[in-house]
Amino acid sequence: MGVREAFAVGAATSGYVRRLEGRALEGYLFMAPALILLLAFVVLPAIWVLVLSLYRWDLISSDATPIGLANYQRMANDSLWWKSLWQTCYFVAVTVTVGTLLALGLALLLNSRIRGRSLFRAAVFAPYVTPAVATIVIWEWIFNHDYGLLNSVLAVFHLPKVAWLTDSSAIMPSVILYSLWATVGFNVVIFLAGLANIPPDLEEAARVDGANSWQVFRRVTWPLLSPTTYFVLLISSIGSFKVFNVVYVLTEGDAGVTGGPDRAAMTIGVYLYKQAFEFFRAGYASAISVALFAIILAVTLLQMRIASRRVFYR
Amino acid sequence: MRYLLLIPIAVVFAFPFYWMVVTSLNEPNQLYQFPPVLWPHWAWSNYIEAWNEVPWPRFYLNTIVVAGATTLLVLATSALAGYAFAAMSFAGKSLIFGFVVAIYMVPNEVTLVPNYITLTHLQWLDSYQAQIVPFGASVFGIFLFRQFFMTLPRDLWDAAQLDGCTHLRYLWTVALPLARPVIVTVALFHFVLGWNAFLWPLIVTSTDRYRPLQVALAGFNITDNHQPMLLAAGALMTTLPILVLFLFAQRQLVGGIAATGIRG
Amino acid sequence: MLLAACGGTSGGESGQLGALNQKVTVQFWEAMAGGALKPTLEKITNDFNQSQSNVTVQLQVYPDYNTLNTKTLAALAAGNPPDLAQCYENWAARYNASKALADMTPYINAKDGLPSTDLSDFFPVFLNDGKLNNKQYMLPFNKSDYVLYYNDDLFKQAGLSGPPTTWDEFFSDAQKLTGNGHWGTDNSNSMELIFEEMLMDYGGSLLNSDQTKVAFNSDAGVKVLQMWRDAISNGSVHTISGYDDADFGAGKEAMSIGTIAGYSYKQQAVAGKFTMKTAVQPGGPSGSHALIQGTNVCIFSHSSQAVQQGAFQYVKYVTSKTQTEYWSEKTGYMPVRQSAYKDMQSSFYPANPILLAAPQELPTAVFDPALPTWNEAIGDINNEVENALGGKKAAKQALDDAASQVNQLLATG
Repeated sequence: MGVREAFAVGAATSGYVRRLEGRALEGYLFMAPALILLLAFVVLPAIWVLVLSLYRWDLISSDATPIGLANYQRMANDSLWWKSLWQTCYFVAVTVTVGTLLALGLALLLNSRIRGRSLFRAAVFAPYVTPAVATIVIWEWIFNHDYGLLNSVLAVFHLPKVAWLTDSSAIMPSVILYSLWATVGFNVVIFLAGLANIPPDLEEAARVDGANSWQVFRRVTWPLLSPTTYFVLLISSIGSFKVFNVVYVLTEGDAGVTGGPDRAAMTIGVYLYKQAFEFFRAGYASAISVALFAIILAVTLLQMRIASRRVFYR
Repeated sequence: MRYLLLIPIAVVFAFPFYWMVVTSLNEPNQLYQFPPVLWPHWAWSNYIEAWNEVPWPRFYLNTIVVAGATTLLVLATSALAGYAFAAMSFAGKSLIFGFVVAIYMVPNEVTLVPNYITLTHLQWLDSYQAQIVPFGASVFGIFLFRQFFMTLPRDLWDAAQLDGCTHLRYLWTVALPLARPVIVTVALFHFVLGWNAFLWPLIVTSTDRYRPLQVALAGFNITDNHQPMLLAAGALMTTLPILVLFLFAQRQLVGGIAATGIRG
Repeated sequence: MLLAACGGTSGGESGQLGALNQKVTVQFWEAMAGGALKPTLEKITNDFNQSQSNVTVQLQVYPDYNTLNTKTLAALAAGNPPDLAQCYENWAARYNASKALADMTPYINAKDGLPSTDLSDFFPVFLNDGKLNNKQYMLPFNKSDYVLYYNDDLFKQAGLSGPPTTWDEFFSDAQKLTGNGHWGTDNSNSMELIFEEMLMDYGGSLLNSDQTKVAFNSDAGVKVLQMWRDAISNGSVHTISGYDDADFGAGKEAMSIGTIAGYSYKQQAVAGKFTMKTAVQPGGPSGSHALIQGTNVCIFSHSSQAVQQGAFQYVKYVTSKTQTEYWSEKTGYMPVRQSAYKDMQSSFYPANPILLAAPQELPTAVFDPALPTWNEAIGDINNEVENALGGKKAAKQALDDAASQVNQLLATG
């Protein structure tokens, strides 16, 4: 659901809802199941994780020991944490910018009455709905150094083979490549919905005034699309910061090190998982969770600030 | 001109699916070749071998139970809450609604550790409920139902009330049947989400009894890493139901996703 | 000495536990998921379940050791561990840090336990390895070590008379075996393990004597990494992803250092295209060291005494002379009993000489330290070893970096 949209609607609620009678208690009862679940599994845990981050606890020995800010100190000195953070930022920066531009381009191509439009849309969107593990497993084979499809494509162009999964400088680009393939369809669909909302007469009017395609896009489509663009940017950066599946499935197992060669694809999500559920450092993992939350919140607020100045609302 | 760009792009996007099929139907001596063999050689025995390797029927059952039950639970909680927000009046309604929307901002990853601890206390680790209950409420679902119920004309409720209808009865007999498109969208969205769930079940399941397909496939990937044809067969088996669902319900699914951002 | 331990039986009464006389179900968590391992363990377990009426063992298989360890820890956190599990020494140390394991001594001494002659039939190195604080918490189950697999046809073509016996020979042979689309060997396997072995072959050691700090960032460590690095640079060692079975089986790779437990995968890949042979691993100035791989089994203290005793009955069955022989012949793992080994020397190994190299290395057996954090340490060392081999870091730098990470782990947990 659109975060920004929901805020707008939430704020406007009282304005256009015709209030219907009903006793207050009944209203609370109707909301209770959803609210209790949300409180128990989202809100309270989000607060509790702050408390947990001040403890040392392996979950197995029965007591948690309060250790103040020691988990945060540990983070400050943990080179692998900084590496994960930096690599995650790199991943986010590339997937969000390239992913958004690519999606916009595809949406513009698809935004016309062409034959087989829904077929094209399905092809682009299918990777997003299919189970990630299954598609990653296939990509792992596509990335294979000696027998992979990707290297054979390179060979057609007389390019040397790339060790997609075994070279520490290639593993992150591989992860990014997969992620773009898997998620760009979602953004395309959002952009298509945004484009459909632009009244055709505006673009038509601009064309009548003698504007060329680029000018129409630059002066009419792009400004009117800005709320959608903003939404795509926001949703894809939040999603990208949490990246887990592709790194885990591509690099986990007897034959590999989680995070890939030199852990060059280790991300915050995977590092958090390792600390929490393989090494059972509940306190330290909680501190990492808090940091992740803070980062995502900061990025969201920053984007909202920029949006309030740059996004064109009708 | 558009086709010149669109066709190669569509091929690039669809090729990994084709490759899944080709890989799953080739023998090792066709797979270990460079450049690769681009056509399948119909080695159906790969499927039999992959099928016999792990208890797939159990994993299918687990996935269907979890995805199905989560979907039903989400529908129930969302319809009720959505209706309350749209059609009932009580103190603090818009405040609570704003709060619910703000919940959307909390990423799942942040709550992994506390939720895991909660489940250990409930003795729920390695169970169906561990995979269902934490996802039983959906901000997305509440929002869509609320949007829809707000469009219902007031006269409907007035008439129903004259007949002595309670809110619950009205919701069940009048509002929900009208809300079919919303139900389909929310159900599809959450069923696919439940089918594809990976990280949480990876953490909370520990035996085959409750392990869903995706976690099983990831394990299969570790065990049989050196047998790409079996992996591809496994991958296709876990993907096919969703691909079929997608092809049949593409419009609703895409529509549902688009609805999330349509008003931007 | 064993009889003296009788006083320690649980249940308050002094003296021996009686034979198990009730029906119990035992959950056994294991990671024998691939190849011949899975059906063989299933058959042994079915046979056991049918051989007697008291104990029913149920298998829960995990895709790999890491998942098994992770899930066992998670189950301990939930207060709901299995009754029996495969375990490495350092895992057991971790489990037992919260007293999660059961001392097997009472069950060994029970009426239906293991007579002392039976117990001393285990290879002493394995039995000792199963002790934590001098108590028998584990018994050996699937034990393996790394051996040198080689393609005899390629050796003959290169004019080599036999497998290398020193690491110097190993690398010079690798060069002779390289060219025309062939290469000597690869560094796809767990290089951390080979590094550990060679470190000792060259006189180094992993840890200081009281196991509080690492000692592997020594001249010996640097020398070993440099040897591999040079061989990678001259092309005789090929870097690949995943397992090397396909390349070895296709006749591209002449030598592969790998676990004896992977024998069936190699066999399948080779499929009679050439003569595959094995030899004991090469050595260095300080001899040869075989780091024993594979797991023991341990019983959890959470289970009731009857279940623990039932679990032990299964352990006793699986490690019996007949079953360890069967297991070994089907999977390539070493037999855990001396009598079984003796038996197989006349009945099995003459026809399957390939599997003989593994137990032949037993006199040089060494084990990983049984420290609770060692599993994590292995990951850190492996990562830096790969950095050095990949030329991303100088050998000394990589080892120093690994040392500081592991030292921190050893200090803070």
